[in-house]
Amino acid sequence: MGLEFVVEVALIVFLIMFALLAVELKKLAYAVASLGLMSTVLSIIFYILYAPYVAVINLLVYAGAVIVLFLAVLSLMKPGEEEGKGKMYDIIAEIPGGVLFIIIAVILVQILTTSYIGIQFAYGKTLNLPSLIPPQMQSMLQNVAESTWRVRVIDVLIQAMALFVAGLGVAVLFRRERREKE
Amino acid sequence: MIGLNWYLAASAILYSIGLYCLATKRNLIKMIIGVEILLNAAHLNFIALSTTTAGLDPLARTYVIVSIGVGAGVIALALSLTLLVYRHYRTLDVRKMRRLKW
Amino acid sequence: MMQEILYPLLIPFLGAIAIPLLSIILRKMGIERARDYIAAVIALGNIVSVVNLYQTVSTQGTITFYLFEPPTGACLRVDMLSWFMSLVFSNLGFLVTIYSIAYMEKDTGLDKYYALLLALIGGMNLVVYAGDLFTLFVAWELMSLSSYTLVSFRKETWEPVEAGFKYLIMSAFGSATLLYAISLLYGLTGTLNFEALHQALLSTEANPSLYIIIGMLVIGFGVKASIVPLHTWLPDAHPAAPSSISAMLSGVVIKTGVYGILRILLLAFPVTVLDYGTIIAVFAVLTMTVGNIMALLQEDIKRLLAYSSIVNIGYIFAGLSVGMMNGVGEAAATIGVAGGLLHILNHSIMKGMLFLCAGAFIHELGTRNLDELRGIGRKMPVTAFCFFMGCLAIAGVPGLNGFVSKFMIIWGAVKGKQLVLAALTLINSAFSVAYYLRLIHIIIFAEPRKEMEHIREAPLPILIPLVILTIQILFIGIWWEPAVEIAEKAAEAVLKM
Repeated sequence: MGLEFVVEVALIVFLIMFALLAVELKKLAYAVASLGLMSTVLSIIFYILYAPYVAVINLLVYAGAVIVLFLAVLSLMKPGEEEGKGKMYDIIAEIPGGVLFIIIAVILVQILTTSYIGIQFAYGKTLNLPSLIPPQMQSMLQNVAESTWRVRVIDVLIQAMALFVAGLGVAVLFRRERREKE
Repeated sequence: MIGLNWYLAASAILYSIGLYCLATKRNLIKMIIGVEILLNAAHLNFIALSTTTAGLDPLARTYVIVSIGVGAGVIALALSLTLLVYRHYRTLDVRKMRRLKW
Repeated sequence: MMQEILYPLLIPFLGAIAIPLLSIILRKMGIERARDYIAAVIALGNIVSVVNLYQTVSTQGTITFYLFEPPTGACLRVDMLSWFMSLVFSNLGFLVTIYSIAYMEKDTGLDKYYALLLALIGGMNLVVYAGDLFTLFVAWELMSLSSYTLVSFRKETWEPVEAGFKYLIMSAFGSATLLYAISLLYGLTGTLNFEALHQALLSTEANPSLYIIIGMLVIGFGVKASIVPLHTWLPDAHPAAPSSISAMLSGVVIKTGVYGILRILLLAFPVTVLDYGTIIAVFAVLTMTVGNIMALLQEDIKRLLAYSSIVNIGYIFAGLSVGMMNGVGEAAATIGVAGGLLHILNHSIMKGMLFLCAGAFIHELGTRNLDELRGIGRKMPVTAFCFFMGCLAIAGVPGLNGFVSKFMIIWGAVKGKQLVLAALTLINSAFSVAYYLRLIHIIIFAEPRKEMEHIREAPLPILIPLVILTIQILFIGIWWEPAVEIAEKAAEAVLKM
């Protein structure tokens, strides 16, 4: 309890609030901005959960590069086109979706916080965040570097290939049609 | 530190927000935002579940790092497709397109 | 440590990287077309490397490759099922590459097309060779990324771009759900390695969160496999893609979803505790029924074939679901799963060929409308004969390959005392004959229209894959023992993990 508790709960509340704003805001530029804020809050949460590497990469990629891409795409569109119009039928049409959302959220939260936590774990882990994890940051960082570059190097290679394919894909989609030489 | 329950609940709520976004929003950019929220929910889950009393599991960190990279590739491709769709229709509204209704 | 299993992955991937570079050099030399043949040779090399693996896999059972000791490290793991799937992928991949030489000749950006096609083949091989759920996920994304782009390859018109976007969003939703399920599994067991997962969940008890995980895994893989409530992208994406890619997607890419469901469910969740086979069977019947009804209503040849793919996914799941039921007996489970797996092979041959034939018609005439294609078979006899054989095989005529696997699926269901499932599969199978006969009638027996005077037989690179696929249909139809034997070995590999 105390300040830490308040900060963490506040971060979670902000995370969910920004996610909702990113979904609900009519103006796409604002929606994208709040997506960026959500990613930033998520990065802070990662940092608190002793994952500074992930925090930095999440900040750079999802709160940085991806948001820049979104804004670049939006800037290529006419300003009037991007805004949905807030009419009544839109709100009514969203009621079933909203109800569905609440039902799914309640079921998932219920099951994950009760029966999921209660399962006996195979490797004898107890899945509760303790109040005191010895934050041996130095060795942790080395561990992550080792696990990325040595233990899971095959995954990293596949990821590099996936990014190559994504680059090829973007190149295909924006290739210029060659003029027919008559 | 607050308990794992909070983080699991947060990721479950994030997941359902993403699902809700994909199910109800009819704007191409909003759909991509929905996909990204879904991915973030899974990442939060990985990190929260790997922070235990027994210690920190660096593997889950690696999973999330790799997945962030791949997810960025998917989103970049989705955005370039959005631009192409926009060039054809001059709108981002799915309801004005021919086949994208579902 | 077995380096052999790297070749089916390295050959296509290195090829995918090399072809864009090579094509710059070839363009300078003025022989740019050589690139197409190089791609075909690489795809052939892929088949050779897969076939080469058979000896080792069949004697040793399971081969693993890793750079760091599993269960921590990422690893590749090949057993009979993986080998069988990669054979299916490589076979159709090679034939599609040959087909593309003539079919895609008028398009631009072909260096990237062949690179993406090879990356797709390699990615699918990697999905089935992965020995670790996270490796499988990354490979899954790699495969998906190249298939999204290939669907919207002809970006000048509205249809491919729109269909590609729809495919991307639905598929990305599936992948995200898959990742969420993987994170929950990781939290439960602390590992994602297949063997360790199997050990960890061996003595589990029924629990609501396990059902949530199963549901999410089925949704995540099911979007790719187009199980019915999640199928809506398929009838748009498959017709919109170039026909060669439609053949790839319908023939093999959707089968990776089937593989995912089969492998992960049977591996991680003991059937005796969590009886999910019935749920899968319900979805299988739903899938084939909806697909059949929709296929009857189509006026577009490729859309019809796409719906027919959904029907066949239903048959495959009907076979696999027998193996996932509690208390059907070992023999029934093996026959059912083997029938499903054999149908994966057969469907990849039949549907691949039907899409390639449809592509040949479209290539010559430039339309997909069934009314306008009336009687085109008389102008293109070889293609028409292949199309005819494909339709008969997929309708389940005895003596051709489709009959063998459908029979095994139904037999497995009967033997496992799932008579309702068997009956519904049989009824659906009989029902589907209607639209195959309609296809045969329109394409081959109807009077040709006047506009078809100038139509001639398709070029040789299009005909070669068609003829090879027809020979495969006849071969498996008549001499089915070896194929059935391999499918049974694959089924045993996944059932007796």
